Amino acid sequence: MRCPIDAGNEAEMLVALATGRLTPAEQEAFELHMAGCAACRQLADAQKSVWSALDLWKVPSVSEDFDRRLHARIVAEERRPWRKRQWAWFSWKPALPVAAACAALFAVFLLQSPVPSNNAPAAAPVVVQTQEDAQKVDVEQVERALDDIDMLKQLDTPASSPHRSPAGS
Amino acid sequence: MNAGRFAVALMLAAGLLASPSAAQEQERPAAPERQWKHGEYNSPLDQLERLRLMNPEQRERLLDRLPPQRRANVERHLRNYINLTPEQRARLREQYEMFRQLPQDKQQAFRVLFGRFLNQPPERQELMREEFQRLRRMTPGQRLERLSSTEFHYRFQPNERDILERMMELLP
Repeated sequence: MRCPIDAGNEAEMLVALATGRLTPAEQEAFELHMAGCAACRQLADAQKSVWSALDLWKVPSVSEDFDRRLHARIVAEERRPWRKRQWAWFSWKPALPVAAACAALFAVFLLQSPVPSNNAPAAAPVVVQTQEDAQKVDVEQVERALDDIDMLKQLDTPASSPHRSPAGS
Repeated sequence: MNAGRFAVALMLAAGLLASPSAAQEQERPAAPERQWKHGEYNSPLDQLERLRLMNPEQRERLLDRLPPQRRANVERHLRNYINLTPEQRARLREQYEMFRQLPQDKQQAFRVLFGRFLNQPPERQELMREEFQRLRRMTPGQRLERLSSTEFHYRFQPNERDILERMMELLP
């Protein structure tokens, strides 16, 4: 017999073996093969343990008045106002962990997105000024530059009509 | 409440908190704030641009270092500078860069001459300004001719002529 694993039909063979659907000749050949094939034997043992566990599982019995209570609940549900029925699907039990996750997400969002200051200009600034930028300004140098620029401006433009003609360069 | 679901939610949140961006933020070593020493600044125009683009609070903090009179002066000049059109600003920046190329003693001499110019009556200032601009547009040869012309001597008083002639000597 060719190894079912090699043939690629091990699942069908194992299910057929477990459910007793193999012919006696097929079963005998497979058992003979398993005696010499550790892989097939291991698969068959695993399959047997699953079927044994399923055999042990007992379906809980339905109580005698199950049908009566079910119908009573259906009737009660139909009598509820439509607004309450709309939210009938809602349960706090699954909602609480979802809410906790959302709160955590929101917290992460707040932590990762700096809140803009109220004093910041409404439009996005072209240049972001940092404390370091402020330190790079020597106010006395700027003062001298502004004085000189004002001087050049006054020589360049008449006081009455600014920037009438160039000073030349 | 289902403890399993809650645990999953907490794990999800913990996973998000430990997301790469958050981790990078935490792992990134805090850059030491650079202390700029005198002489390490960029050009005065760069600094002026920074000052122009600052928000009012930052500008206020910076100008607080100046005595009130000088501060008022800077604020006035800065206001004028901010109110210029970009083209006007660019033109003045160009002129200022040219002025900055002069040796310090020449720059100072020009400032003194400008102070003398400001001491003239407004109507004379206007005439001198026009002449200054006309002379600046001339070639060196034309300028020399103009400064020695009768018209120039006739139009300006000795003090005014002296200011204009020396200004022309200082500027390239």
